[in-house]
This record gives sequence, C-alpha cells and structure tokens, in this order.
Amino acid sequence: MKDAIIKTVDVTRSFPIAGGRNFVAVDKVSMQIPEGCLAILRGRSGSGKTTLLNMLGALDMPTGGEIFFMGEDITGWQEARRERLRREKIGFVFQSVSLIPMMSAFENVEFALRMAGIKKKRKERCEECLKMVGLGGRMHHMPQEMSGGEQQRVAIARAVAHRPSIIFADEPTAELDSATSISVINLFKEMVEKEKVTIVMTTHDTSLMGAGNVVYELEDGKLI
Amino acid sequence: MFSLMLHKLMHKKWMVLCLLIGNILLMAVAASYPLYRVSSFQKMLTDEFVQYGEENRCWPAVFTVNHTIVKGGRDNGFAQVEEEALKAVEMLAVPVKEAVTIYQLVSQKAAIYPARDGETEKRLSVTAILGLEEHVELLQGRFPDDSLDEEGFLEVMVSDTTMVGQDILIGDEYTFERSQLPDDSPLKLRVVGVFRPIEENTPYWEVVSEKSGNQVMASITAFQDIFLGADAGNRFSMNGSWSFIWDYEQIETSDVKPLLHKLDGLGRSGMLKDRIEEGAYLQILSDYSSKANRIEATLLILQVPVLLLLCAFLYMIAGQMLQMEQNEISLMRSRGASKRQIISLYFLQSVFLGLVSLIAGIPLGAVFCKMLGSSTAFLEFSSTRNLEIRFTLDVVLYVAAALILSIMVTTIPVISYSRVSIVNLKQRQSRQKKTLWKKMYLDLILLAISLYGFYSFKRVSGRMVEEVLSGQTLDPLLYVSFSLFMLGAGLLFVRLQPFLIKCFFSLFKNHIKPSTYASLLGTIRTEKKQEFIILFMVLTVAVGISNTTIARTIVLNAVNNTRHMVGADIALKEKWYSNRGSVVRDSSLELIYYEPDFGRFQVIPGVETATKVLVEDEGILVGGNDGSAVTVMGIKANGFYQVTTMQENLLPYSYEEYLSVLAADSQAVIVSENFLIKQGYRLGDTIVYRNIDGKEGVGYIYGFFTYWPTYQPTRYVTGQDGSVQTEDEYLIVANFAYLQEKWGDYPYEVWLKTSDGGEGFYNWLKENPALALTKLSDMTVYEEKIIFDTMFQGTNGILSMSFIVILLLCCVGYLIYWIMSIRSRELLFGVLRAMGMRKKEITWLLIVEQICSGLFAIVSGGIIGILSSRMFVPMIQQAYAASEQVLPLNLITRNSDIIQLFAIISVVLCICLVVLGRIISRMNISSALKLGED
Repeated sequence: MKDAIIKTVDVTRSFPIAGGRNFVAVDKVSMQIPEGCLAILRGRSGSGKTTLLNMLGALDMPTGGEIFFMGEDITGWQEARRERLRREKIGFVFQSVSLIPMMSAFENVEFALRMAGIKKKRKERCEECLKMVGLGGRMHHMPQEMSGGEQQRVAIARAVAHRPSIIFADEPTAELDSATSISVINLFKEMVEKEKVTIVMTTHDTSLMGAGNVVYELEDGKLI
Repeated sequence: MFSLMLHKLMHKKWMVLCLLIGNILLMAVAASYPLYRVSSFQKMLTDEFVQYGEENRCWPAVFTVNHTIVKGGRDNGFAQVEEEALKAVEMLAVPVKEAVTIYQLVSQKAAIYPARDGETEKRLSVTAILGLEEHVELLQGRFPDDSLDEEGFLEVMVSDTTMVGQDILIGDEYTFERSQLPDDSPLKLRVVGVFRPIEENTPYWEVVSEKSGNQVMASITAFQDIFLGADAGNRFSMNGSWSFIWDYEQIETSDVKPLLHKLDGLGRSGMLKDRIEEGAYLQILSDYSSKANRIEATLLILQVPVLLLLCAFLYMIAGQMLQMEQNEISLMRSRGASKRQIISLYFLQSVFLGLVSLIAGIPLGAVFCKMLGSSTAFLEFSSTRNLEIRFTLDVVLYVAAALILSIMVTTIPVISYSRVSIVNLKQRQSRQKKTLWKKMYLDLILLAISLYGFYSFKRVSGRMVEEVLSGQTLDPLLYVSFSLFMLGAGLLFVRLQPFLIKCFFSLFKNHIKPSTYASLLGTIRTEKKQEFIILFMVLTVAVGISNTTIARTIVLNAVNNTRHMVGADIALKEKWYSNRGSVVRDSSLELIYYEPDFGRFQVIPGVETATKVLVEDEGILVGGNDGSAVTVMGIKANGFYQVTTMQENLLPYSYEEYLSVLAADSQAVIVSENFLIKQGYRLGDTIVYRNIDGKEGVGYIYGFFTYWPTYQPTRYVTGQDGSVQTEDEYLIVANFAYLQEKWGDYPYEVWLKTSDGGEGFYNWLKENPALALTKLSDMTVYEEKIIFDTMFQGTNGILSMSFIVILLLCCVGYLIYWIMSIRSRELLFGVLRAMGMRKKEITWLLIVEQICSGLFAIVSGGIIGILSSRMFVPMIQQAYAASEQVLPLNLITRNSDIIQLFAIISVVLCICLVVLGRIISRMNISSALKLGED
C-alpha cells in the first residue's frame, strides 16, 4: 500500500444541542486514505459523512482525535494556515452548484489558479483542464447557461486546476441523473490516473461504490 | 387571500419594514406640506394684519359702509342701506368683534347761548352712536334724554376732549337757525353731560374718533325720531356709517380668496356699490394672497424631488421583494393561478401596507411640520418657535394622493413578474439585458433638456427678477431643469461607473489580488442590480449639497444685503426740533435745528461705537445736470469705518483707502459710479450740491464707488400700470465736519455698533420713554424677520426635511440592498472560503464593492451637487430676491455644511459596514455551503 495522504486517529466531532447535551456527528473515526486513489465515503443521509469530509478538507475542526495531512497533524492549526492549505493543496467539488455565478467556466477555473497564487501559464492550464472534462468548446459560457452535469464538470476542472494533492467531493452526483453521474465518476478515475491526484468523495448511492479504490462506510458517525 | 398575504409578509420582515419606512415617509412628507401651509400661512396672514396695525396704529380690519342723505333729496332714510350692510357682513362671514353704527348730521353753524369770549357761533355736528352709553363714563351731568324736552331742546352730551377743545360747558344751548324741525322751529340743543371713554385704545373708539372733533352726542332714539322719523321729511343732510370691526385673527387662510371675490362683487354692483369704504384689509388680503400664491408654488415645487425619490425607493424595494419572490410567483403561475389573481394579491398587499403606514405617517407628518416651522437654517432648528398644527381637508387629500401613488408604484412592477412562469424564469435569469434607460440614452436626453432650460433661463434672467418683483412665481420649469440636471447627470455617472471599472479591470486584472478580482468582476457582471442604489446615493449627495447651498445662499444673501442696506447694527434718527414755525412767520429768521445730546448714545452699555451719519436724501445737484436728486451722506471716517462693514472685493480699492482719502481733505467727496458713467464727472471734478433747506456744499471728487453702505445704485419702481422700472440713485459721501460747517447743525442719524445684539440699547430705550425716534433700523430684528419669513423658512425647512428623508431612504436602501446582496451570495462566499479565501479577503472583497458603488456615488454626487449649485442656485435665488438686492450674489456653501453632510453620510456608511461586517463574521462556511446533512 502506498503512503497514506490522510490519516485520522479517533476523530470526533460533536455539536452542542439543546438541553446542554452534545450530538456526536462523527464518533472516533480512524482511517487512512492512500495517495493516488479514488476513495469513497458512503453513508445514508445523516450518517456524518459530510462532517467528516469537512474535517478532512480542513474546513472544520474535530472536537477530538487527530488528523494527519501528508504526515502533519493539522488538528491544531490556525485558520490562516488551514486556509493556505486549502488554497494550495486541496480542491473542492460540492453537491450543489458551486461555481461562482458571475464568472464564466474559464474564469472559474482560472480563479482557482489565482487563489493558489499561480501566475504562469494560467491560460494553458485552464484550457487543458476544461478540455479534460470535455468542455473545451464551452469555455466562455456562464454557469447559468450550462446544464447541471456541465456545471459539475467545470467544478471538477476548477478543483483540479491548481494541481492539488487531494480533491474532496461532497455528493458530486447527488443532483445528477445516473448517466451523468457515471460520467462524473469516470472523470474522477481519469483524473486520479492522469493528474496523480487523490480524490475523496462522499455518496449515498450504493451503485457507485464499485468505482472506488477504497471504500468506507459510515453509520451514525461510526465506521463500519 | 388576506391570510396568504399576511403569511407572505411575515416571511419578508426586512423588506416589509423597508416598504413601511418608505410608505410612512411618503405619507409624512405628503401630509407635512398641507399642514405646514395651513399653519404657517395662517401665521403669515395674522402677522400681516398685526404688522399693518402696528405700523399705522389702527385696527387693520374694519368694514365700513357709508351713506349720505342730502337735504331735500329723495332718499328716505338709512333703513335700506343698513339692511344691505348687515346682509353683506353676514355674507362675508368674517366674525365681527363689534359693530358701530353712527348717524351724524352734517356739521352746521349754531348760535351759542350764553355766548362766551365774544364767540357767538360754533360749527357742531349732531351725532348719535348706537350703544355709546356702554362705552363711556359720565364725568358730569347725565345722559341725554330720548326725546325733546318740554322746551323743545334736544339734549346732547360731549366728550371731555370736545369739551376742552371746543369750549363747551354743561347747560350751553345751541340753536341751528337754518335747520328746521317738522314744526318749522329751529333745532335747539342743550348740553346735559360730559363723558369720557372707559377704555380709549380700543377699535371701537378708533372708529368713533375718526369722525369726531365737533360732535355733540344725542341719544340714538331721539336722533331717529327727530331726523329719520316718518314725518321728518328730508330736512337734514346727514351721514350714516355702519362699521364692523372684524376679528381678523379668525380669518382663515382658506377664506381669503372667497372673501376677496365677494368684496369685489359687492364693489361692482348692488346697493352698496360706492358705499363701501376702502379699508386697509383689502390691501392686506390681496397682498397676502399674491404672496401666498408665490410661496405656495415655490414650496410645492421644492417638494417634488423628494416625492419622486420616495416613489423610486418604493419601486426599488417592491422590485427587490418581487425578485426574491419570483420563484413563488412562477410556481403559483404554473400551478394555475391567473395573472389577475397574482396582481390582486400584490395589490392587496400594497393597500394593506399603505393603510398601515397611514397610521404612523400622519403623526410623523405633524412632526415634520413642526420641524419645518422651527427651522432657522439648513439642518438647523430652533425650539423657540412653534407652529400650531391644524388638520384640514387638504391633509386628507394629499395623503390620499400619496396612498394612491404608493399603491401604484408598488403594484406596477408585479405586472411584468406575473407574466413569468417557472419555465421562462430560468431563461430570464440567465441573461443580463441592458436597462431600458440605457438603451434610450435617457441620461443624455435629460441632460440635454436641462441644459437647454438652463441656457434659456440664463438669457432671460434679468426679466425673471422683474417678474418676481411684480408678484409672479419663478418659472417652475427652472426647478424642473434643476432636478432634471441632477437626475440626468446622476444617470450619466451610473452609466460611466461600470465603464470605468471595466477599464481599470482590463488594465490591471493580472496584477490584482484574487479578492479584488472577484469583487470587480462581480461588480461588472451585476451592474444592472447596482444601478438603482448607486443612483440613489448619487442623488442623495447631490441633493444634499445643492440643498445646503440653496438654503445658505438665500438666507445669507438676504441677511448680508439687509446689513448693507441698514449700514450698521442699529441705525436711528432722533426727532430734532427747530425754529421752523417762527421762520414760517418771519422769513428773515434763519432756520436753526437744535441738536439733541449725542453723548448719551456713546455711553449706553453694549454699544461699542456710535457715530454720526448725516443722510440728506432730498439733496439737489447744482450745476451740470442741474436739479437732479442726490443723496448726500456726511460721515466721520473713523467712526464710520468702525460701525460699518463692507464685503471684500466689492470695491476696486480697499474700503480703508476710500475712507482715508476722504478724511485727508475736508472738502473731499467720494461719489457713486453713476456720476462717472451717466453724468460725465471725472476724478478731481468739483461737485456742488444743496440740501433741502437750500444750503450748499462743494466737494472735489476723490473717488468713485459701486457699493457703499446703504447705497442702492438702482431702485425698482412699480409704475401705475404695474410694470417694473429701474431708477438711478446718486450718492455723494462727504465729510461730516465739512457739512456741519456749511449747513450748521443739521439732523443726522446715529449708527451704532453693538456687542450684545442690541440688548443694552433696548434697555436704555425703555428707561428713556420720552425719546422720540423718527427712524430705528435694527439689524437683529431684520435678520430674524428674514429667517422667520414664511418663504425663507419654508424653503429651509423643506430643503432640510427633504435631505433628512433622502438620507434615511439612502441609508435604508443601501443597507437593505447590501444585506440582500450578501444573503443571496452566502453560498458564493462559502465556496470562496472553501477555496481558501480568508475572511479578511472576503471583507476586502466587500470593501472593494463599497468603493465601487458607495465611494463612487459619493464622489460623483459631490461633483454633480457642486456643478448644479453653481449653475442653478443663482437663478433660483431670484425667487427670493428682494427689490433692494444690491450686493452681487454670493454662492454660499459653508465648509462646515459640507463636512456635516459628509459626516452624516459617512456615519450612515459606517453603520452599513458594521452591519454587513457582523453578517459576514457570523457566516459559517459549512452552513453557507449547505454542506450540513439537512
């Protein structure tokens, strides 16, 4: 097995709820995601998979346990340091439309490069990524002028553009029909192969589980 | 449907609040105008009467009908005229304080018995006044009897003044040899009493004493029986007068026009034609009427911009609300709701909100009205003056109109939204069309129209002053051009804004931070959404600046001008006594004036400097253009310099230089420039003048001036036909000492410079009640008059109120726009945060947006405000011009006003930023992204 890009030890996330008690969304999860694979986190709605994904992606902090990103413990990092990590090493694809509405497909992808501070050959990289997701011909369309599948593919192109080490995709296929879903999954696989990137995606769709190199299943915040 | 609407409203609390604020302000502004008009005009009307009364020391509203019966004529008594007079008074419907009926025989000579001091005859007028007994007290004797006594005498009484003046005593008997009673015996009088008015200074006695002098008072019953009875025949010439003392305080402003109309009708035809005495009230009422028309038109038009902005605000908020609800609307449409149902739902909502606002709007209108009534300058209010609030039918009409307007403005946008079903909604959202006004080039069209207006008004500005002076209103189109200019320029800047950002963006897009990049790109791509709010801010600032300029300019110019015309803080002239009476009898005597003690004025507490200023305004020029009228002013250069002020840059040399040149040579004079231009005098020429007593003075011209304290180069004179003409005025300023030497002691004015606003002087005046003044001009009084003049005050008040309302709207509009804008972009910010953008950067992104919209709007609003003030305020000022506007117009924008203005706007912006900052800091990435598992 290759080195783990992400490793968690007893990661826990709880939220205070009414009555002074805590609701435990993620309960002592320990897992390892190897570099260069398509990992799938499966679970029903409410199983805690998005909470876990947010912590892995340094969007949220665990209330217990540790998370190691490329061997470093990011658990106690300051917000600024985590922001930098997100900008440079991580790409996100979200469930709902997550493109910046006032930017065209091309500008959306380019914006990720700007955010990561990449100045050289931006145009070429953007075109490359958009061609990779099959939207070479619609680069200058606005998000509103595209279908859901097309938008999601732009989001994927944007997530991969600045060559992150890892991409987190939260239910990327939830709002897509099955044929489009499959094409998105295939795109992920292609990315893992071509760009040598690790992709972690969540889904509630059991039919997609077969596509992953690594599959975790969550139920009530616990791995099963 | 009502509950559906309520439910809908509960879910849009913020938008509803905004709509309510807009509506309430609209109602309040609409209500404040008629409220203010009624109460301030009422005050103005009463003041006009009071002022006339004070100036002329008389009751200003007495309606009098006179009728004369000629001896031997066919007239058979007063009854008919009296009846008509009473009818007329009833029709005129002005409350009568008191009615005075006077019958009076034409005065005739009567033989006196017993004769005193060799006087055998006296002219007497037998008079009877209805109700006289109640107004007098007897000093001696008794009241006359109601019929002839057994000896055939008519009993009369006299007033104490008549008694002394005419030398009449109780028991005196008078016989009118030529006036025969029906039994052919002469009319005989016997004096039986002497009376004194119980209270002399009443309107009643004013009316009575007008006809007095040689009156002997008979009882009215006796008068009627003897002189007007059935068998009296037309044996006597007599006058009847029926005076009705009106309670002018009860004349309502709304009564004035009908009253004038009725009076006109009475004077034209009917029995009373030519019998109504022309009273002072007629002039007062018609003056008031034309003044009121002028003020009304001006104030109304000043309100238009704020009303328009309020409507625009409501339209904007209604539009925003619809945008938020367009999903629901299109859903309802797809589920089969008809267009009409949707429109009526929104119509109901507008009516509901309008009615709710009415409840708060009318009281707020009353508050605004009080504010208008207490304003002393732009955004300055004094609590000492209170207007009485009176609700009239007008208020209802105005508010109803505002309600209809509000309903229309908030319902109309629904029509276009109600057409959209869910299918074409998406298509609609995806396109960004150019706004209609941009396609139409409305901005350029409006600018062109306003500039056309500007230049055509500029060409005829001289005529405009004349029109205003002859009582006309300043052409409303001028204000329209003014407003259109601001609107057009505002729109132009709104058009320019994305263009400028695009330029900046395309130049620097590869050198700016990602947050700036996202912000600018966002601004460019959503320009249409921002147009409205930017326009709003531009107009707020522009209106603010031009309002403060107008307000300051009109008041300060009027004050400065008045100061110039008065000359000093206080200018007064004492009554001088002379030996004129002796001179008339004996022309060999020389006319001598007795100078009162000048030293008294110098020691009054609070008087810094007192100086003698000789003003001979009936002087005559000798030689050259012989006989033309000139004013000669004799001054003591040093004192004059201390008490007067002269605005800088008005004279070619400094004021000090003029005065020192004058002081250097006792025979030096400086004269007004029209001597040079129109009369051909040159420097060094000798000028000879004479005062009204014929004494001469000779001076050498040392200088010419265009401006001099109290000097008015041309005077507007209203001709017989109502046309306004100009007349030149000439002024010679000479040394006081020289004039004194040549003319002897000659009545001069005393000009005072005070350090306490005249308080000490007035105290001193009170302590010296015997002092007789023939002139007293007090700058403080004039200043107050200007500030509280309905025209000025209404203008100040409305401009201040408009600004406050616009500022409120701008604040609310700005805040709601940005809250909505941020709320609608929460997801976007979440995405940006997930992509690694810092909170600080998001804040920066918003700041850049604020710079692009807010700062841009403030700067361009400032430019437009200054520009439009420069262009239009000098012309608008003419509406307030007095006929004696002498000084050149100064456009006054006080830095403190501008600072205040920007401070207020900055505070508003800061509040907005704080609110927005709080929203941002509370924003949670994960919840923003809706990543939670809900």
